[in-house]
Amino acid sequence: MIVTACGYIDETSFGSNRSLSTWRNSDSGRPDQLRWRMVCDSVFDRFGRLDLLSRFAVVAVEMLRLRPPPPNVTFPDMGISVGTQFGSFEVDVGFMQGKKGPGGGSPILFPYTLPSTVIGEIAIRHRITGPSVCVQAGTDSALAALWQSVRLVESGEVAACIYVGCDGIFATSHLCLPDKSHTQGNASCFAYAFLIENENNARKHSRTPLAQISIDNNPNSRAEKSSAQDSREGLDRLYKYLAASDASSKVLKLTAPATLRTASALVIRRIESS
Amino acid sequence: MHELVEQLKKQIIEALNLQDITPDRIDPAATLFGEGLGLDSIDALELVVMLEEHYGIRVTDLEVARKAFNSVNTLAEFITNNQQKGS
Repeated sequence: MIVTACGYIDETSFGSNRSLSTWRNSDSGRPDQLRWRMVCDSVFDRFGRLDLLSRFAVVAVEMLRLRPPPPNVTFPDMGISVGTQFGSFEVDVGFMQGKKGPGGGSPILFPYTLPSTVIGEIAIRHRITGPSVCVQAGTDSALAALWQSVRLVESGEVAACIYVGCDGIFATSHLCLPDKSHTQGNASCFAYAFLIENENNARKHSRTPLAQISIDNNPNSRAEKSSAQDSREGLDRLYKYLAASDASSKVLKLTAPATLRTASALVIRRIESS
Repeated sequence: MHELVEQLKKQIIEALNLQDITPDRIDPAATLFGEGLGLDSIDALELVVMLEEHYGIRVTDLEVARKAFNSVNTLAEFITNNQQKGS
C-alpha cells in the first residue's frame, strides 16, 4: 500500500505535499471566518453551510488534488475514514442553545450533530460510495482511524481510502480544551488528509507514490513510545515526513493507539522520486 | 414588492450562510431548489424557520409551501398575501 497525497489545514495555514501557504485575504485569523476562496480556487457554493469540522476536513481533502469526477460517475471502490477527538461537540452545544430559544434548534445545524456527517460531505463532493468509518474515541481517535484506513485497503475491501484526522473547536474551546498546549489561541481547528491506496489503483489514476505504508504486527518492531499526548502529534509527524520537511528519517513508525489494543506499528517508508 | 424581494435575497443569504453569493447573483425568478440556487430540503426547513421568525408566518400546508418556495418572487408574493390576510 502507498500514500499518494497529503493535505493539511489549521487555523492559519494550509497545504499539500508540495507547498504550505497561509490563508488568503484573512484579517482576523479566526477559524470560523474561513472562506473557501481563502484556500481554494475552485467553486464550492455549499461551503458556508458546513459546520466548522466539515469545513476543515473538506479543505484538507481538497489539498489531495483529486481530479473532479466526470458527470454521473461514482467511486464505489474508494473508502473514507475519519478520526476526530471532539467530533460534533461545537455543533451539539450550538444546537442545544438554539433549541432553548424562540426559534428552536437550527435545521441547518442538526445534520452536523453527527460527526460522521463529515464523511457525507466528503462523499458528496467527490462522489465516493465505498465503505466508511468514523472514530470518535478520545485522544486516540485520529490515529485509530488511520489504522482503519490502512486496514480497509490492505484487506482489499477498497482500492483507495481517503483518511482525515480533524477537529473543529472554537466557540466552545473553554468547555473542552482545559489544556491549551496543543492549540493556537483559543481554538483547535485542524485537519490532516492522506490518500492511501494500492499500487494498481495509483497507476490507474496516474498518481505518484510518496511513501509505502504498512502495518507491522511484530511487537518487537514497535516504535518507541511516543511522547505525544494525542493523535495530532503523530499526524503532524506523518504529514511533515510525507511533505519531506522532515528529511532526517528514512522510515517513520507510529505506535498503535491504546484504543486498538494491538501491539502493531504503522511503518511508513518514503519513496524517493527518480 | 421589489424591496421585499431584495430583502428576502439578503435574508436567504444570511440564513443559509451562502458565503460567496451576493444578492445581485440571485435571479428572483429562478427556482430555489434543485436547479437555480441549488438549495436542498434542509435549507427549506431553515427558510420555514426564517419565515416564522421574520414575518410571523407559519407554513403548515406542504402544497402551499412547495408553491411559495419555488422562487424568491413567489416567496415574496406568499409573504405579501399572508401579511395582508393577517392585518
